Amino acid sequence: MSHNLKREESAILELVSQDQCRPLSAEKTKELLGPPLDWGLFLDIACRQYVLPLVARNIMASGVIGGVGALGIVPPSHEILLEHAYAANRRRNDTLRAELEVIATAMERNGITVLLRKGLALTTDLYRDHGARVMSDIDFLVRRREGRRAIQALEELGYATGVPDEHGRSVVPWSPQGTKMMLMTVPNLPPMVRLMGIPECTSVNVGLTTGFFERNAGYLIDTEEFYSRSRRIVIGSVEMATTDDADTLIDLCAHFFKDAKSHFAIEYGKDLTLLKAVDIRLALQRVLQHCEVSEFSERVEKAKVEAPIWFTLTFIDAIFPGSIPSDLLTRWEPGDKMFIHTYGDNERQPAIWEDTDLVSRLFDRNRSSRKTGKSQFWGLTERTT
Amino acid sequence: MTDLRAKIVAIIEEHWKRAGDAPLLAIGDDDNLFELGIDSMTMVQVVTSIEEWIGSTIDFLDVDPEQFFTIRGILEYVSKESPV
Repeated sequence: MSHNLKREESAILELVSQDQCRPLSAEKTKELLGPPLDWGLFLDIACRQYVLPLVARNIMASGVIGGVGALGIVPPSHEILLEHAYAANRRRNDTLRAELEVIATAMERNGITVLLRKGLALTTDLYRDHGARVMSDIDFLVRRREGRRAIQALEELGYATGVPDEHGRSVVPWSPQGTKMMLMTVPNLPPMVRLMGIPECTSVNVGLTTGFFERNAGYLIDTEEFYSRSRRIVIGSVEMATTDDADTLIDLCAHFFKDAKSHFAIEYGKDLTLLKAVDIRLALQRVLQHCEVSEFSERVEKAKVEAPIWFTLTFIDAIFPGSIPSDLLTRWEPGDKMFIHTYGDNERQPAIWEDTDLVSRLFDRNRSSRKTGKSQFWGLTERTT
Repeated sequence: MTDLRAKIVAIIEEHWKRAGDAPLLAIGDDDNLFELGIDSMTMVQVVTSIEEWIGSTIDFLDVDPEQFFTIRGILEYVSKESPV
């Protein structure tokens, strides 16, 4: 798979690959960001890939902003923008952390056990800097039988089922038809939202999922297993349950696969993002550090989810070459590898990407318009029906 | 029970035909309807017709789709929740 990356794309890939403990040297950063870098394009790509705060943090950590040695590398106007992008994201995530405490307390009071997923858990465990990772919502795994009570607990806190309007001033409810379709076909409960009225966090969305894989996809993974292996995590003043490291990796891979294949996610522009790739890379590093690869492999094979996991790991290895142990890739390599280029299979609208270059596909801003077919999930809110 | 089953199959086939797909072959009692290839929109229409038939709404916060979307699952629900 060959690809010709733009200079801006290469710089971003290099910057998001950095360990917080080992920032890039100022010399290397200067090499990445020096002329003829197109700063407008650089920032646009970082935003579209949901990694601007991480990029900003890593540029700042390399010491090229605010010091004498920094002069000339980052234009002064962009220095301010980078600093503000990181600081604003940190403030937003502070709000989400505070909200997590409120939700966790309410769930506990109502006797509902939820497992924290994705953003807030990853930020704490993997990024170790709560300003570095963009978070769009607070995600939980919940037992389906406790779903109704979880929704009621959130409603008591002022949450409503729906999506914020474009101004963030009201919640557009989901249509009964849309709610029914979601509950019938995907392992998610309707997303809930609370308007906050704070500039950096106009609303908080809570995602409740009852399983990691599409319903009826033929995978044999029981939500109860995730509960039995869960561990405790401390976030600020909150201690709550989350998935263990190997299950976190399975969750992230499943999520990547599901979105990459979904008409809805492609149309929404959230199918392939560098943020998800960074999450998976970091989660895998943690599994490798804790010598849990065999545990991860056993669970993947027991649940018969080799295909989606291979799909995801192949993508990650294309984006970050050499990041995936080769035995993991060869172990689950399917006979027919064409499905890495297809989408919409589960929506009965199968289609094939014309490109074969995974990294180019990731960075292609026109990906959505190149797609054929249409999601059945549009028109689910009252406003659009 | 045979009549109920026939009615359920008739509803499914009616919506399946409307969706313009090839005729369904015989549906087994435990065949998952999604796995037979019925898409989400058609399935919503099937559920709406069943609701109209039994005169009550099926709340999927209380009903597990994994259990529901077979002929047997629908039959059990219809017989238990809303005898018609």
